[in-house]
Amino acid sequence: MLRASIQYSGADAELSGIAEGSKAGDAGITHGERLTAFADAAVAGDPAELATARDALRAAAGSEILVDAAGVVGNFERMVRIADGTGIPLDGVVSAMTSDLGIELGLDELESRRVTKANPLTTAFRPVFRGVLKTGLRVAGWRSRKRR
Amino acid sequence: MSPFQNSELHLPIRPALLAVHAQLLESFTRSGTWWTGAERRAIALEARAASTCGLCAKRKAALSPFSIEGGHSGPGELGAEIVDVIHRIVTDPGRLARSWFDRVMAEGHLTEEQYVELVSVTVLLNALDVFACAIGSSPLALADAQPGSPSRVRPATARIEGAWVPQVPVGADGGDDWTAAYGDREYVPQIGRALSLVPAEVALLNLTSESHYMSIDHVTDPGYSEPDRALDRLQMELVASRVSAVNECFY
Repeated sequence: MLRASIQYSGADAELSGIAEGSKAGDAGITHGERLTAFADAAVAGDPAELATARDALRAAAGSEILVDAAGVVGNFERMVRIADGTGIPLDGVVSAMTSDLGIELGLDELESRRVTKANPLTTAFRPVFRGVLKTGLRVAGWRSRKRR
Repeated sequence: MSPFQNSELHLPIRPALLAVHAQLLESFTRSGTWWTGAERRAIALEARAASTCGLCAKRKAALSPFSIEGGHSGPGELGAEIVDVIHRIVTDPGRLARSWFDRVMAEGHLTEEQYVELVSVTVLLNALDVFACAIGSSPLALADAQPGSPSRVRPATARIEGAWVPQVPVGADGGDDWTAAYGDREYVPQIGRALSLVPAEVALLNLTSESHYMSIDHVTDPGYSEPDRALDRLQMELVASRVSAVNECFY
């Protein structure tokens, strides 16, 4: 969804923050470096590292962003465990949008890749879906920004 | 008043977040669909203990998480096999495999329905604790278990549709079961259907998504942002994607 949001928003952002975390800097997203450092520390759970990341995010972005980021971290700690614990397959749309991301971000190397299977029909029509989706997102974003 | 013990930071926690946290905490202590209130509370406390379990830390560091035997540290109010399932879900979800799930089911300590409800309680408690820790607070205390019996209602239409566990089929195939869980929606992503074998847990999942991230109806609309959030959509998706990547979650 990050890539879809980037395409929709027309922002000059990169996906490197996903794979590299805070090493990628802000990756074109406001407070991106501090947000990924905070997410990493919250998942790892080391108290000292987390306190440092929390203070840095709060100082740069404010308390409201800190609280909302903590909420998203908690929510996705839950989501990944539901996905991995129930062995759900990829949705058709997600599969079409993420096929080349697997290589770009090294996702195809993950253990859970063996568990999470794509729908064979989606795989067959993947190039068509992906082209339509990318174009559709750009057009929708452009039209939405024009209306504002 | 916020129940989070963080007097130094004085963080402005949205009322919607606090309300859902209170609702989730209460849900851990009352009877569910397949577990009693005492059992759900025990699952939640075991999930809380997993993050500091020595055996789980050794397994996480090992080449194969199934190569190291031993006992988990925690309250131990549930059977050892059930405790092991809870700890693995919390501490090493990326290496859970179909063969592991099949073995758990074959052992006969859990039914599919109990497993789905256990996953839900485990991950919801973990989400609350991660949130508390992230803002620099202590975990929220659980009240005593409430009396009552599980309702034991299974959606009649639930069937295997690609996941390890049965799910309510989409739309007309799911009939009243689909309508009860998802209203007039024509499509719900797999992540929103994963727990549909126990519809009451789907309701808790939706509440949590809406308050911490966004309504499941808006997830596939990349232009949507919840109006009361400090994070914009790009920032939200960056944090979400990074958490998934660190957890090595392919989905």
